[in-house]
Amino acid sequence: MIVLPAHWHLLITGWQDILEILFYVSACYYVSAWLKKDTQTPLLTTAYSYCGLLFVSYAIPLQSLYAALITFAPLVVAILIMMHKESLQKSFVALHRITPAKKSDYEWTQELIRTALVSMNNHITLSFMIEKKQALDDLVYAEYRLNSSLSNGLTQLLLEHTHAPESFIWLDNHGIVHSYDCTLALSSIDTWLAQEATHYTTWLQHALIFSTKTDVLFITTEPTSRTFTIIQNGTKQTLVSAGKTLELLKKHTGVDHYPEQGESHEYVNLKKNSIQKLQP
Amino acid sequence: MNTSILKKTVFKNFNLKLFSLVIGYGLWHITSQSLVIEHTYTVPVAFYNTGNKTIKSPEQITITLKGKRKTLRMLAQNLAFHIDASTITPDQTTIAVTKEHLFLPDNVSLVHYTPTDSLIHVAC
Repeated sequence: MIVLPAHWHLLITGWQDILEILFYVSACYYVSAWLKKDTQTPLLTTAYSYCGLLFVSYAIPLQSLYAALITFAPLVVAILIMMHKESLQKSFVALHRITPAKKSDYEWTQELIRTALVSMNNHITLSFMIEKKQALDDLVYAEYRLNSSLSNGLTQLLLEHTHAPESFIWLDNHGIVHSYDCTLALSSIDTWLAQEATHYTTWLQHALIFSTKTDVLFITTEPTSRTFTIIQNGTKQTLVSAGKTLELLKKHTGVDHYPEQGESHEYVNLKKNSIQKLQP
Repeated sequence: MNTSILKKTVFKNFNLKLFSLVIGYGLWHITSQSLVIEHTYTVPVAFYNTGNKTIKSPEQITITLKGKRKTLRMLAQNLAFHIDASTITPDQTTIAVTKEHLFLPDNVSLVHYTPTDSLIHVAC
């Protein structure tokens, strides 16, 4: 009896067979990696299941099933390619509802602090009113609406603009500037005005009362001390540093994670959303 | 340094690589089994019905067979060059190597063998 070498048990008879197998394995790996990119549909699982069924039908053997699987294999491959998200994107076909791309939040918080610091350098006092979950449309008077993302160009315009005293730049927690030169609606304020706040200036009284009744955050620059005044939940913090202000701002807007190197903005938002979903 | 790079290369997407290896081999197995290949074996020379004859011959011969991979794989372990010693006459010095001596099935053919002069030498 001839003692067969180990590779013969795998039906490999020579280096040519190893080359062929390497080709098949490489092709499988690259196709699998491509299919794995699609996280919306289980294409990779489908492909593996199909291959598994093919091998079982070959080994048992289930000749009819095997013949059918071989016959329909090109069709299955074509379907997998068509169903892949990259192909769908190329064809402008969407199986899921398209949601608009969301600007990453971390950029605007830094932009806001940067704008505030520049304004302090120019001896300009800027006040920001940042809403969180509660909309302030009925409580704020704004002559003009911007509804534009806070960006470098916009901040330049805001800095060049002459601000009315005791007016605010109104933003939401996604960095959208709703309006500038807006004031708090006095009719509403009158009903809320508390006696203990009367010794402050008017805007500060209004801000304190607003922050008690809503989840809004007020930030005002203090050019003389190069610090910030922050009003939140009916309390006032003075002489706050830029770093601390940024930290509070991030906490207020829920932007508490910055992308690490190699981590996409999309992933950051995804992770943040998943954390929010877990919270009751 | 090089070891860590190698580890990263090997273990990155390890599951995907493992599945690809299994599926790649499986696909090759399915597609290659029905293909006709040629393969060379070294097989022992075996005499039967020797009686009181003393026969001198090479212990092994090298043969090349052509057939389906699956069939050759099944044949490989039991291949031998079988010679009926009772058919050998005292003055005979050579025996031609034929398919029948190897008990090959119909779908396998003998392509080539050595010793190259197509005969083996027998001394009685």
